[in-house]
Amino acid sequence: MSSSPGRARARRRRPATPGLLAALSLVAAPAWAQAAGTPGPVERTYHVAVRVGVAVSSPLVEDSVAPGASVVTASPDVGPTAGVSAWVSLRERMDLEVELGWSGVDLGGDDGMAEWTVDELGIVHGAVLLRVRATSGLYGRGGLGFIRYTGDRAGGFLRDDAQIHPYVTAGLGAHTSVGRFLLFAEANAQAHRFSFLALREAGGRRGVVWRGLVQAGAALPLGGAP
Amino acid sequence: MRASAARRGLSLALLVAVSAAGACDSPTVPERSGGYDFSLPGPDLVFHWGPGAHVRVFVSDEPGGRAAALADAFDAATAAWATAAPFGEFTIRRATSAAAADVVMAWADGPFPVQTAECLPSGGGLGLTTFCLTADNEDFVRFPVSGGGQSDVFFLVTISASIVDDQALLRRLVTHELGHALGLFRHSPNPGDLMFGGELIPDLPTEADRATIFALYHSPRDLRP
Repeated sequence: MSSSPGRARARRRRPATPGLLAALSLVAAPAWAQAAGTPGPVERTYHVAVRVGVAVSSPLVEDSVAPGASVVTASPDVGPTAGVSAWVSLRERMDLEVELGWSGVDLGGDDGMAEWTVDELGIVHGAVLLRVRATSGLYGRGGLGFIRYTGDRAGGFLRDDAQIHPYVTAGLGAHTSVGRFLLFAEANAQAHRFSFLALREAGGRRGVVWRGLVQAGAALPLGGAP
Repeated sequence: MRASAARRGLSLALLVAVSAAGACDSPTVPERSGGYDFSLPGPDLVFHWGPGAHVRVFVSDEPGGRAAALADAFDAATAAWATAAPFGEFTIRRATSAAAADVVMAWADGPFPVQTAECLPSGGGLGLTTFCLTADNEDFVRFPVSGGGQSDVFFLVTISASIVDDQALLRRLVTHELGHALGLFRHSPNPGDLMFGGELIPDLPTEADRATIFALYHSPRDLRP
């Protein structure tokens, strides 16, 4: 069989990972540029936040199956997502944020002849981000984190896959103060490389999975003004 | 100074956006080779349960230790075939009665939970998967439940009682016959495969067995459940 050449091919492609590092730069560059223009350290403020919303995703895999058969695409359906985060001010307009989130979605299969539910996915992600408040009501955020997919189905394509995938994330949001709370709505994009055991055994090629999260939430200041 | 820094940041962001856009291809798996033919010999028909299907199997529950041996072998076969359905192509479930099943499994010396008067098991070997097609070759003949009543059953898997004490062979045989009930209507030409027509060597579906059933479930089918 062709498993050995396939594995070799997968290894050769790993240097392409700098694509994600470049994407991280995409997030970081404007933030640092903004930070360079902000005044020095200010009074530290802390926030804790909860957020809920919906998540969408590009396909996790496109499998060519066999000659004469149909290509199988497995994509997470649109599903709910929730998360918690906390941030601390670094400068007047910049915060350091730590986020933990979860999404529970069906993984849908499509081979052009039928659509079905492949598995029920649990997706956990955590990240460290920089938040930059561009104007009084708008902000951007971006950072680096880790994401993990788990499935319920025994023997499914995620079997034996304990990998935790690094990802980059960037987003835009708007917030407003209501009483002691800071209410916000934001859209975030995540990108990470993805592969799994069966893909590697079959000589498959790692690729990039994009996720989009639209969320709303509330933050509570623990020190200083919101 | 501040505007200059922002411009530099924006330029860098545009540069990396262009490079990142080039790395946005999805994870892909190439075509697999090494499978074998799965169509029904003769009319050359293809059958599978359909991606995402739940295949309900009733294991004959006659009193005594034989029933436990068959049930144990069925559980092993179910786990073995689960690895051949990476995208949830099928799930094998145990039915509580023949009336609520699609497939019935029983010892060859009976009694059978379904009536097979119009579609008698034929052929030799230690295991046999029996089904019949309608005259126009467009549908399966359904087996009535023994004692009366309709059912959805159209596969009867029978295992020779002579191997009741050989649990390893019994597991291999049940896994093999379940492969037929999943739609692998031909035997593998490779003696090393679980679906080989002669002496069975492996306990689990081989790479070729898995590639074949994976291809089957993503191929157009002529027969539906």
